[in-house]
Amino acid sequence: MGQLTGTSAIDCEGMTTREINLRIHALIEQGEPEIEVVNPRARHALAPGIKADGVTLSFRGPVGWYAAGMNDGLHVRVQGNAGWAVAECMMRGRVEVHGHAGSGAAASIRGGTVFVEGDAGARSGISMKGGTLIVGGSVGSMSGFMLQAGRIIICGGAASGLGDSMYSGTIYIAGRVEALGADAVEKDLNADDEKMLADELRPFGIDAGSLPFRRIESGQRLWNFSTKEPELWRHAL
Amino acid sequence: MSPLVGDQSVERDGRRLQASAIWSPAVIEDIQLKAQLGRYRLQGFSTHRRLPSFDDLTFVPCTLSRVPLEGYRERCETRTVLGTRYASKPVVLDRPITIAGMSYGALSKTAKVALGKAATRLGISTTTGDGGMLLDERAASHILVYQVLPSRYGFNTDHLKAADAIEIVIGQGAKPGTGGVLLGSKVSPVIAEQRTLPPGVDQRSPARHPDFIGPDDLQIKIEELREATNWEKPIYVKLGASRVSDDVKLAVKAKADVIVLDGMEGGTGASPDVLLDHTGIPTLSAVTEAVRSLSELKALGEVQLIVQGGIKNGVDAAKALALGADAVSIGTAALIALNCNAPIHLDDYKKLGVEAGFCHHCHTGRCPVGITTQDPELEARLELDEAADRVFNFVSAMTMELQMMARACGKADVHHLEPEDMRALTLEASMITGIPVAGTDWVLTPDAIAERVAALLRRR
Repeated sequence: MGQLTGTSAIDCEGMTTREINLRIHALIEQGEPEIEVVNPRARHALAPGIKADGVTLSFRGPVGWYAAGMNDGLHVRVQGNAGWAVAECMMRGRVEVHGHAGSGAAASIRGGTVFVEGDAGARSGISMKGGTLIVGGSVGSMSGFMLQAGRIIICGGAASGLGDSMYSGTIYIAGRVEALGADAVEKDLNADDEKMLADELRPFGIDAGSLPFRRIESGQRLWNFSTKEPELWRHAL
Repeated sequence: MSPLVGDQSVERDGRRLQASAIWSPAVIEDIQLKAQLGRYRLQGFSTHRRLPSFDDLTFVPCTLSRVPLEGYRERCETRTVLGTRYASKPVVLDRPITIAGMSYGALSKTAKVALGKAATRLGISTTTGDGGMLLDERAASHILVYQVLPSRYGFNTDHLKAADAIEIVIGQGAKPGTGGVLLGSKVSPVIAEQRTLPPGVDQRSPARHPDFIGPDDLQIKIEELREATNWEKPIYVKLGASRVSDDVKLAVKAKADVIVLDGMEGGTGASPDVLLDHTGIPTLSAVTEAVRSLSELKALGEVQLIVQGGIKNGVDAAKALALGADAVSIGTAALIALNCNAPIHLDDYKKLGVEAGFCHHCHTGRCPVGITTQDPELEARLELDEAADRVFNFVSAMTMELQMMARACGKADVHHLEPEDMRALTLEASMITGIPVAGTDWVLTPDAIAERVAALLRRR
């Protein structure tokens, strides 16, 4: 560990994941508001399950799977790519990936905001229960699958199956959608949507007004079984 | 249940009616019901079919060749420790019995809390389910296992940290390879809020986790959960008994502390009946396969094995332990102890089209005894303390039965029971377990046959 940029810093070189996470916990307990982690080298399971407010944790370099998983209040910045399921099951806080993210980004989050500057992989925003996922680029297949609540904002396009079987929540997408998933329906934006998009994207330097967003929501035809729509249910179950 | 082919002859007014063995009245009813429903049939409870089971084994207690323990005087230890592989705080149970994961949603709050209260008095654990942790359940349960399920309904990091162990659910025995079902009638406003769902929807849980897929992923997931909980809590991996040999090896490789194996007889709040009757393998087969895999990996004792699925008394527990399990888990048996299928409120059973003793209508939410319901009026029928007392009494009885078998076999610790203490009563059970059929000293396993053939050849 050393003082690299005026903030408390951890150099992962030669440290185990356990040692890195313990050091992060120790610095937070000491009241450090800014912690910088260098040389993470795509290591998995960095900083999961941390509950803290007013702390910014920066990773300088790529992180592996489950970075900031189950985050509960931290502001996490990743200067690089993130592996699968970044910020999965997050309760509160903000996680920014200034690179690309693997599959399952923001999987099942309950609150907070996940921002991916580049592209995000398959099943991004899967079964979210709240919070916001913003993707500057495009998302992979089955993103927003079984979405329950919250919103997914995609500035690029989406591979097939977007919003498949979503119960509720909202997806906003500006680019081309290869194919919507079962029971996902496209709607026009309203004034509230436009304001919300502008407010959500402004902090990340994205002008929502310059992008042709549409709104995707649940058609609610899969909420309860119906014999009147056998084709829909044949593919849903 | 899904109808099975069999003899269907009946007497009516002195005449014998011979139904088709293929197109039996049950099959006809099944087809005609589906013709109305337009989908598969759903039910709660468990499979109805006869399966090879622990009943197909018998203990061969001490006689002249072994010395039994005195029931009144000599202690028979039941203490059980789970999660000794990596966790810094293993789970210590007073007896090798746990309460299986059942969701608040499938079960009423009173039922969940009653199970917790009973478990605390018994010194055993209870388990959350597909709906997250109920705070009252946490308060009632001294040892609580927190399930991490594919749906992540109600998942909360605080609850994860407040648990004593973590159980990653890969599947369940009643319906391996599929997700859960909670029909709209049970998705009350309270349950909907807990699961973040619109009230009244027919909820279908995903079959796969949102953030991992295969066994290599699981290993990283386990590492994440350990890091998030300071490597204190045992991590269980629950498998629906299906491809047990490989699954157990992969779970060991993924660094699980404990494997929970749920056989085909496992219960459920709601499932397509065809899954209950036609998927998975019996608990007897599953425990045998699992122990063989653990043994091959030299992980017996290092990775503990909890067996569940149709465990109905202390003798089943004793046989599971003798086959190599470290503990058993009860779900349906605990509900029956609570009052499931009790002969009370008979009119309400009739309204469901069943009778007490035959009810498997957990999925409807109209449980006549207040266990598998979210209806406040029905739930009020389950008196909390009395219900907890019944579960306490039942598990106490189970423990006595378990100790009885162990003492009779000369064991001062229930964990000392071993396959040699048993004989098979059927050829089938013998082939599955590798235990000789009573009256013989040989088995029909491939290894045993090969050994016998080799011995015969040597004699020539």
